[in-house]
Amino acid sequence: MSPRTEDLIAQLAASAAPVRRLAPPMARALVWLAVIAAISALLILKLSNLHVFAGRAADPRLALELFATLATGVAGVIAAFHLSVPDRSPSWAILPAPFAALWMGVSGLGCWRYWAEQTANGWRLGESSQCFVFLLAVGIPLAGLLLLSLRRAHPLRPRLVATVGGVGVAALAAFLLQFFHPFDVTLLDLGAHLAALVILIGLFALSGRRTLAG
Amino acid sequence: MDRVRQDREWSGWMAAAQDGDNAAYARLLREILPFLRVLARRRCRDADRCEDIVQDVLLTLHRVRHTYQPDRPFTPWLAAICDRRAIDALRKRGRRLAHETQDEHAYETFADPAANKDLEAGDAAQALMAMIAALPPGQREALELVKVKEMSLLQASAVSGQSVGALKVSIHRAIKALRLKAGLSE
Repeated sequence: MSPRTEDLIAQLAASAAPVRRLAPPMARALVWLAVIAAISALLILKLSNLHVFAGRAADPRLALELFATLATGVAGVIAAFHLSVPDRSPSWAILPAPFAALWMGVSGLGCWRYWAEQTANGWRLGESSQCFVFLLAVGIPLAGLLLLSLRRAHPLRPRLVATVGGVGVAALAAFLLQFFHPFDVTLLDLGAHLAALVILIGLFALSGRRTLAG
Repeated sequence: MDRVRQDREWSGWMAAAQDGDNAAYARLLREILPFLRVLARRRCRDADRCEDIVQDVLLTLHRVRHTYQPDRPFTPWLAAICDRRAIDALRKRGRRLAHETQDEHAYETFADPAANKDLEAGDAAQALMAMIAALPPGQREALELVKVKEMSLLQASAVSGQSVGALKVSIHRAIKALRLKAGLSE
């Protein structure tokens, strides 16, 4: 054994204080999601107009879009927690992909249908700027909370964890937006949503790489 | 079967280490060294760099030891850390090599030209040796004995078997040839 390695082992063994084991990633993900669900439920009950939402949710296309958005968010968060510990497969990263594809497909279809009906009246910019602000205002605190939880594991793949976690957080913010968004999206709205989501994912991936590494 | 038993043993030591048993931890770290070295060798050939990777794995294992769950196998957890660290080391090295040029003289070269005289003298000596090596054998031998080893003409004649006159002619021709090769005027 090289003397330097022997010294290192002696130092590590001497400095090894008892540690609290991290719970399994699925349990940690579910606890995190439950806390966020509780906070979101309170905000939705207090601040949103559920009658309008219920009316819109009766449309099967919107119901499917809601499901896909929520599933992308939940899958992204679960995948990020799994990727944050060493012995879980990197293929967890593709868990949110099918839901994200469904989400993009359904909202893109709705947008196209709406656009086709509205072309006679020209372009209409919905409430894009408000949606943009909402997505960032909700997404950034969510991202902060997720980073705090993920960094406890000191992930070995900080970039991958941060990117997948960013997709999860962006999708959850988009899901919550639906409760405060009493109209279908136009093409420009969808563009604004996408821009906000890309910014969120990018911010999370960049800050996450630094926060989670080490 | 042995591997299963070994994994259980390592897993038990790791669980004990998580609870603060330093002796079990030291034993575990020593026992896993050969396994880590084999894994590191698969990723790099250089023994020193392999040892650096092994030490990096030990440090990482120490930092993330709270993420190990004793109800799961230990070896895949350890192998994942080792693989990750070896890949990171390779990437780091790749990035460094892509941005750096290896120049063995770079550290010996100084901004003041006068400080580089020794270095330039070394380069000149190497070039001169190459030119001497390219001379015809008789001229080379005469030059080496008389000018490099600083023998007298009589000693050089005894060693080489050439007459003193022949040595003088050979040395004269050799120096003339070297001057021509070096681009110096006579």
